[in-house]
Amino acid sequence: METVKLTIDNKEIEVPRGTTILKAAKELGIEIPTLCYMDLHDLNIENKPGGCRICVVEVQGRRNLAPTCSTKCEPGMVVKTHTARVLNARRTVMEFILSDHPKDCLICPKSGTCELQDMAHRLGIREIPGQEFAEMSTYRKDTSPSIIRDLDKCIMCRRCETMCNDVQTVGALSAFNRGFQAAVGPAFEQNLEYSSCTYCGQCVAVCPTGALTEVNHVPQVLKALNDPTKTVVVQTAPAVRAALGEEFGMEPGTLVTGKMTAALRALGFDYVFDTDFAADLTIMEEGTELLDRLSRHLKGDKTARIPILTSCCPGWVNFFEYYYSDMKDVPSTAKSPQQMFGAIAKSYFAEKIGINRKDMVVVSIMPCLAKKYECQRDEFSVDGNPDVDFSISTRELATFIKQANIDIRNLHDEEFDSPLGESTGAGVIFGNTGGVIEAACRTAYEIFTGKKLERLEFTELRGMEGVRSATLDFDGTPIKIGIAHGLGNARKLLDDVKNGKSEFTAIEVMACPGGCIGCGGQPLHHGNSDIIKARAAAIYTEDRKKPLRKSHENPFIIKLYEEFLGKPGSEKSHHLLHTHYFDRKDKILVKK
Amino acid sequence: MVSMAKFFLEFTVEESCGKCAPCRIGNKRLHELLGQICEGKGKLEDLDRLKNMSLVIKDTSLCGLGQTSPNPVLSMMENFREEYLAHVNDKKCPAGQCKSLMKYIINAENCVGCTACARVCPVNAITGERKEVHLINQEICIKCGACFEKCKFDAIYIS
Repeated sequence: METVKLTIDNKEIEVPRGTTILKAAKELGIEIPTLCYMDLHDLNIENKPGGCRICVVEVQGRRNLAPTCSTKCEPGMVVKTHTARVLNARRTVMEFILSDHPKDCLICPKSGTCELQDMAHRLGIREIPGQEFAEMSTYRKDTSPSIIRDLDKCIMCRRCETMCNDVQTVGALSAFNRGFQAAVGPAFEQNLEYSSCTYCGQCVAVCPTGALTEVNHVPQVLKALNDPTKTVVVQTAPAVRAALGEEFGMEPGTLVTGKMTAALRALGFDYVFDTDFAADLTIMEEGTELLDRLSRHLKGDKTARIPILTSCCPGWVNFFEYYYSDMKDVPSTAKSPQQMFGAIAKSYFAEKIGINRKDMVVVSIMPCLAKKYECQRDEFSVDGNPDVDFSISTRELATFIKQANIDIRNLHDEEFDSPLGESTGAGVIFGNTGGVIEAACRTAYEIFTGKKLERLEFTELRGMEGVRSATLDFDGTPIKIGIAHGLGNARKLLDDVKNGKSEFTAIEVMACPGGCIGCGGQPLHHGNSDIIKARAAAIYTEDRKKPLRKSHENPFIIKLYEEFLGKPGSEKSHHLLHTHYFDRKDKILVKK
Repeated sequence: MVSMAKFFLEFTVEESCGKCAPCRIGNKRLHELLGQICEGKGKLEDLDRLKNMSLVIKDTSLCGLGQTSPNPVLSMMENFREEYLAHVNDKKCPAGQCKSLMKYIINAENCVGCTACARVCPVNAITGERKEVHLINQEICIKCGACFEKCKFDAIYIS
């Protein structure tokens, strides 16, 4: 490999050709401050528009200062990172940026986790000269079911654009207007609700300021909890337990299942249940659908569409409803675990404890922002009463726990309530990319072959590559599985399906990189993939700790079918647990 | 010269694409500060700020627009520094370009009290009886220059 030698702050270093000054300096232990720059190494994507100009340094012989994030090392370069000229420029540019940013840090939802705030602190900015007569760029606020855009706080780092266009290929966000009025938003300056946005929340996860935040549903939940006429039921998604601890200073990958359950009970929820139970139920329905389609396909039935696509991820559902609306018959019709849980809680469970569904409030704790939109969909309600009333994110739960003076670190572990809190390891791994299909295979194998599955962990389905494939041997029948996480990767597999080139039997898609553990509502990971990997490992640990690890062995699922649903795929199941898809382009009205 | 620099900045603020912060926000702030000086609200230390902001914008902007946009400010400050000083120290505009800093004044010796100026004033800032010396109320005057144009006796001058 060709290398170049250069000097940074009087230290010599040799780096491969093409390395940026920023990375070379990092190797020397010199942390050059950056603001707009974002490095997602595992996705091979960097956001470096060179827009903030905070990372500038002096390069000998160069007329002006060089932005390190996008300047490559050249042989013999002499770089100085902290001369008076550099420090003054960095400070002045930061003053420029702050002069066009609201100063309401005390009441900003991003306060404490804001990268702009951190940078102002790091650079020691204490006053902004000329603020008294400085005009501020301003733009109307946009509230969608999941995401709030407050462009007054946008600093034009363009990270959201990179996530939306390059990683997710959703194409909802791009820059518009020029100069001081420049801003980022959907085409024709529409609101997010009228764009191709899938509410995956990846833009929120990378936004350095409070320009993109989630809609806060904690006040509504608090109101329900204080209403004596309501029975409040909570469900927690598998990915939440692997990340919630981070908000309380615990190491990434710390499992807080028991503490989280105790905290939810302390918050006053009447029943603390687990979405993992509904995940097991999803496997029963989706697995049955898979086997039904597969056996019909093997018999030569042309109407049986293969591959089958998973439908657990609402961001992904929004994506194919918009971009692949002609393929509505390909995904499984099974609802997502969140909605299955809501449907069962407000029918089977409400009946069991003898209350009307209108007196029950179902709250879900999700890593996901698209779930907020999903639970508001019309088809998931009965007579205007939604199956799931409110969905709050992991971050929202963390603030809720803090507000309620609960010291989660010192709580004793508690168990979920029965029956909707009982789950198997298969339900837990739903939080990881590859997890849904692995869980489905554990059940499908046994039902399809009639044999006991000896090797439970399909390690070939695990990993962090964007698109993965593996062929499983179902007792002589090869089952080809495709897995994609990140909507950009999903698009690659979907295009093959559209063109009839796909060889897969089943494809699992999760909208966010890493799966639910890397969702937009999780504690911010600032592009650090080690945190995602630690969360994934925690989920697999939880799976291994479970005595039962196959969904169809969950005794409460068996009981649910015996007492209430009949069998997987029955008429009642179809009514409660399956859904249909729309062409979302029809739903997007052009707002005049 | 100050208003000339402001005029050039108006163009770059308009033409900035908005990608990099120093050009997008910096030019705007430069323009605003020049505006303050033109209005007589500038302080001596603002000149240092003006120079520093200009140099940083030049040093850090992404493209040629931002790298050159403060040049008029810098060169005028160097070559016509006394004009800038007159603006911030004496609150005067030697070139008579900055409206906030100039005054229309009636010279009592030349004024014959024809009332032409009072009749043409759009804001009724001029008072005085016929055949007597008139007076411009500086609080009301908007410096439109209509009286100056109208006066046939060269009785109105700019201070």
